[in-house]
Amino acid sequence: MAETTHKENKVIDKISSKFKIEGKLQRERRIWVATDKESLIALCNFAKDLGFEHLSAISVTDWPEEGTFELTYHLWSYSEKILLTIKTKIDRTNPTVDSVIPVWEENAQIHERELHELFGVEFKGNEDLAPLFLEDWDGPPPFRKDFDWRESVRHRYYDKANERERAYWD
Amino acid sequence: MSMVKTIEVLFETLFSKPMTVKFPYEAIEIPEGYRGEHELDIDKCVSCGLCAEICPNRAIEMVELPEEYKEKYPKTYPRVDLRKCCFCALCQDICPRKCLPLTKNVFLATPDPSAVIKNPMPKGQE
Amino acid sequence: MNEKELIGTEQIEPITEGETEYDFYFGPAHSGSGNFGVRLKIDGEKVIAARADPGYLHRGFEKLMEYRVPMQNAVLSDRVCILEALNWNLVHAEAVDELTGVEVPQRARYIRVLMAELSRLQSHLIWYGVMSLALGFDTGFKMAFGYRDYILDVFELITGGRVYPAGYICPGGVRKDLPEGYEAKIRRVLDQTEEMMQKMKHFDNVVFARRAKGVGVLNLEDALRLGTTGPVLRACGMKTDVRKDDPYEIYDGLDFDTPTEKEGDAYARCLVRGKEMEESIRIVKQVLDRMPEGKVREPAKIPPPSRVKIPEGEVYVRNELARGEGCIYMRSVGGREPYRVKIRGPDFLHMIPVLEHLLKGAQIADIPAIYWSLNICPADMDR
Repeated sequence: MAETTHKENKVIDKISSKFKIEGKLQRERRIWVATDKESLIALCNFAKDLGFEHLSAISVTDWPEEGTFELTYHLWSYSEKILLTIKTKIDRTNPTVDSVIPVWEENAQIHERELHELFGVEFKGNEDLAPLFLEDWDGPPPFRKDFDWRESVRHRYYDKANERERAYWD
Repeated sequence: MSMVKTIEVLFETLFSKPMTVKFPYEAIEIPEGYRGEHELDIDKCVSCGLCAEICPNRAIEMVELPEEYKEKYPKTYPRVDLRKCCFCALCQDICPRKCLPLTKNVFLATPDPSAVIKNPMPKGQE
Repeated sequence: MNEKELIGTEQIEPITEGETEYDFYFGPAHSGSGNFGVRLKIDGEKVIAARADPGYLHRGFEKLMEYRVPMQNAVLSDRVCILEALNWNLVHAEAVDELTGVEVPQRARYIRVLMAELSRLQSHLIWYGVMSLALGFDTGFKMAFGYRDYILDVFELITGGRVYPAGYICPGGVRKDLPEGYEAKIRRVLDQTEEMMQKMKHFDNVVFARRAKGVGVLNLEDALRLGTTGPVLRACGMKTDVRKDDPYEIYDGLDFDTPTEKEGDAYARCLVRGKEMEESIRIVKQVLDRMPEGKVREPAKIPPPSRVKIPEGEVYVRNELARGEGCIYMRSVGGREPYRVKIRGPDFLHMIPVLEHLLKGAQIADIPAIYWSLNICPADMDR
């Protein structure tokens, strides 16, 4: 088992010696690292220099009781064949974070545009945050946990006075 | 040279059978295990309600039978709404008594709107 | 209609006399590529700028999956992209299996790989049919869909549905065992597919070579910068395949190659997909030879929804789909349903940054060759 995770441990050691954070080795080829918002861009640049040049996905998880959004950046290295995930938490009431476009360019831009529309996260430095999927949407960002989509659909599209649509209001 | 190849291919395809199956005069046989319409065996049903819980689209609702059958069948039985059903057969797989199998009947289009909700009925009354 | 037409939130300008620049809306109902539109700004015959207009198929899968238990999500997961339904079933099933830590039986693993490779074959046949139709070659379209039907007959026999397998590859294994006589039927279908591939080789000198060579060239550093994966990246010269770099199921025990090309144009992408079909047939033959006996699902009965519990944790699963790299990030807090599911489809990157980059500077007559050589599916872009 020690041989198969040798290169993952090397990557964890390199990151922890530069940034003083502990990486977690989940299984072979999977490393998870948590950091704070301020050192995010520095860690991303360091990861790209280590060989993690493919940004697979950016995702946002909504934690309403804690009052945070958790961002996850999933990076793949073609040379080392390891997946590194960088996690960071930002404040939910004022969700702004620096964009990673300077590191991964257009690949990051489209992911951030989608997350801006669906969760309402502001990415500083991303100029093109126009709506992507939804048209003429004036409600709250729909993928947040406190958005009750059943109620919203009922109010927008079903008329209580219309007798055929009244069944949806039960 | 390509002209020779063309004539070869021409003769080969002139005398071979086409792929098309002229439905409804001919038909491809439907194999066993195809997911079609439901058929409830009401005598075996124990009203556990698992089929209604597992349905991803909430197409199954447990309802009571009309008054005249309540004496023999007092509990609630599944009513399948074929408008919402996606024919995934999870209800067939989860039933502990195997009383809601999916048959091979795929000819479900009908102009009659009352026929798409399958009420549970004793045998012979559907 | 000479007046200004409102499309979405941006207006399409009418043609003014004396000018050669005009706006053009390419879409949104295309045969074989679903519902997707591109706004083009054209000068004469050349495209100056392109902007993708997605969202016609946005169903909110990531939120829908938060309200259903894993077995119900398996049925939903084949609708993420219906053209390769069994591959998406596999991605979702792997994510749940890794979270629950269940040991999937060996026979189930072999059946999963068998179905996934058959699904890849039929997806490439759809691509061939639709690309031929776009380039004007109608016979290729009809033959491809005819031969694809034989593969769908195999799906009907095994999963119970031709196009929608209803979560056949589910968390814990597969839903039911293979029926009697499956091996003879699958081998017959492989022979028929090889027949189709002979015909594809014969066709390609005429149609594809003349319309797709030198068109839509993507060089390697642009491809890496724009996030390309899958056959599009392999046609630019990079030898990478998730089945070899990050193996899942039993792929590390199977013997197959990774075809690559160097030019990066539309013709190279066509060649890569043709060779991938041959590799898929090789994999299916190996799986059929080695199929073990045993159980097909762990646990054998579907648990009632009220007693399901997914242990706490997070996973990121990567798979090689017919179109590229498909991934799922699943996070659970110990409840019945997953807390967050993020689906990353390959076409999200191919349809927006890559398409806009490739269409800039292209002629109108080359747009079909570029668009359909990327093999895009709007369903897994919008989810």
